[in-house]
Amino acid sequence: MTVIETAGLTKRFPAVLAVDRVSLTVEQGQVFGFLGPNGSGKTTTIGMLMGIIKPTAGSFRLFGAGAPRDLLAARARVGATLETPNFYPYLSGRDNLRIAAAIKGIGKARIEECLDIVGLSGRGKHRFRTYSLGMKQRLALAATMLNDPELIVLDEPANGLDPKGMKEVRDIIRLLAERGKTIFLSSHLLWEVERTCTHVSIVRKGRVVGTGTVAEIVGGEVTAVVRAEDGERLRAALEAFPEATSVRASDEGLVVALASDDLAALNRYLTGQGIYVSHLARRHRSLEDAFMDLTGEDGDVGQASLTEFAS
Amino acid sequence: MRLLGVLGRVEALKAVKRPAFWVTVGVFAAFTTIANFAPGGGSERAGFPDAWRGIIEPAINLGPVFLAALMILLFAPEFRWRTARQNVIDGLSKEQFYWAKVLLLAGLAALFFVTSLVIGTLPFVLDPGGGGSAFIEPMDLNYMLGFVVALLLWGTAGLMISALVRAAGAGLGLLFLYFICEQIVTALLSSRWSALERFFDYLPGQLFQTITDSTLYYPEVLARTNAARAERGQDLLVYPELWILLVAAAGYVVLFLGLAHVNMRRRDL
Repeated sequence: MTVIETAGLTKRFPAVLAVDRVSLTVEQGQVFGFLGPNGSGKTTTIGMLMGIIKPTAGSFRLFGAGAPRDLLAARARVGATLETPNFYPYLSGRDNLRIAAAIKGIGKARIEECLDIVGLSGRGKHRFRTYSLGMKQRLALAATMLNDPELIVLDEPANGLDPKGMKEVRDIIRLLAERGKTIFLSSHLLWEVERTCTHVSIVRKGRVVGTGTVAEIVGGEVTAVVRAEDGERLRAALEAFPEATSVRASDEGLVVALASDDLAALNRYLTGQGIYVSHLARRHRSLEDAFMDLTGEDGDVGQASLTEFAS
Repeated sequence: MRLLGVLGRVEALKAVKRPAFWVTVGVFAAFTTIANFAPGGGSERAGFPDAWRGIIEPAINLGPVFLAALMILLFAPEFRWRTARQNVIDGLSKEQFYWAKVLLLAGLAALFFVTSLVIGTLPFVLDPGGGGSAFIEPMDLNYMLGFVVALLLWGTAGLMISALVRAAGAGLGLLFLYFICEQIVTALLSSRWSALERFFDYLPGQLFQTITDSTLYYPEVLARTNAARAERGQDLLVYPELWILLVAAAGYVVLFLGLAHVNMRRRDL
């Protein structure tokens, strides 16, 4: 069953084309990663799906529903949070959930259950403004779970969290995925998405530049990390190497994507150019590599957070 | 009906837990109490129906202003906190969110109206005695109707400004600045083109002042006032028919609600 389907979805603000003909399909049970650098149109796309932003062009369906009245009913099967957790600062966590529950038509018992799942039972009576960022994110997760939704949409759920908070959020997402929920996860934390998601779409400047399973996106290309004393010469030589499809810098050295996996040929070539490498190693191509290749971005994907998270 | 119940419950919870709600209603109640017990206030009158004018007079001037301010304080921050957006994500349509605010306005207007009457009539409940043949006269009912229309005029202005400006501070500034500017501009233009005065009488601020003036409702008060003005050599007060003024004010109420509605429907959250 198709849960989300967009066709040519477009949003143009006066000064910028935020979303440009985005077409996506999310099937039931998928954990779908929606990736892109900051400002690439992820939140705007989700905003259109949630009915808070009017599309300029294109269409979408939720659970097969496309007409406005049907969409309102379809959204009752969705739990979502956008960007930062959006709650009343003067209300307690429990009262904030009471408001969400009243709108969703949910009883009080479920509020306590959800507070318990996210580990906020003991802090439910405290005002939202006194919560740490991690607690706010967890309360947002509790709010999305209130109606036991079939589709959970999370927009940057790990934003601003410390490693412990990130792990807590990741564990909750995993728990939800294990319960068979369809999850649409927008993030720029690539390592997180690679570990959590089954499918991904990558957006750049409002356009989808790659979509498929994580394995498909990562692809079968061989990548190698190369270091030499003269980095500039090494880079020039690698860019001239006929088997190289891309070259980029990373913390480890230069990362070169190769059309074949013959590293010995690469070594011979470099030696022939008078370059003696100090390091040459085959490397597992990660989602980050694929992301960099597809978006052409370098360092605009929350590297600090990524490193912190990976540690 | 179920939806109305949900919207009402949600808005009530948001309002009663907000300190600004209690501060605004509390200050209004305090001012109304002071005005009622001040010399010449409602409590000094012999009894009903004479007391009604004194009971409504202080509230009709303060209540609408406090209501508009409270409406802005409760509504506008929903955009900064992005809770308006979250309410829609949670399942309300933008249309339903708008009607929730209209419901809030109706509830607050009723609260201000009832609070005024309760505070005003309290002295007579505690110490009954005196009074005329009737409990209430038609002109008192008209004055109350004027009070309700004045509450709605300012309340809907507050609702519209909240929807347009989406910030409490700027909203309050705009509300009060408008009424100040209206007075200055109309005074300046009227001094040069007196023919414009009749048009200016129907601008929101001027209309509010007229429909809240007790001389519009009580002929003997109007006669006393005009006699005093004649002695001072001032122009006499002459009003159009009451219903024309109230319909004009109701027109503004509909206009403000309509503008807020269109704005909520068209703009992204």
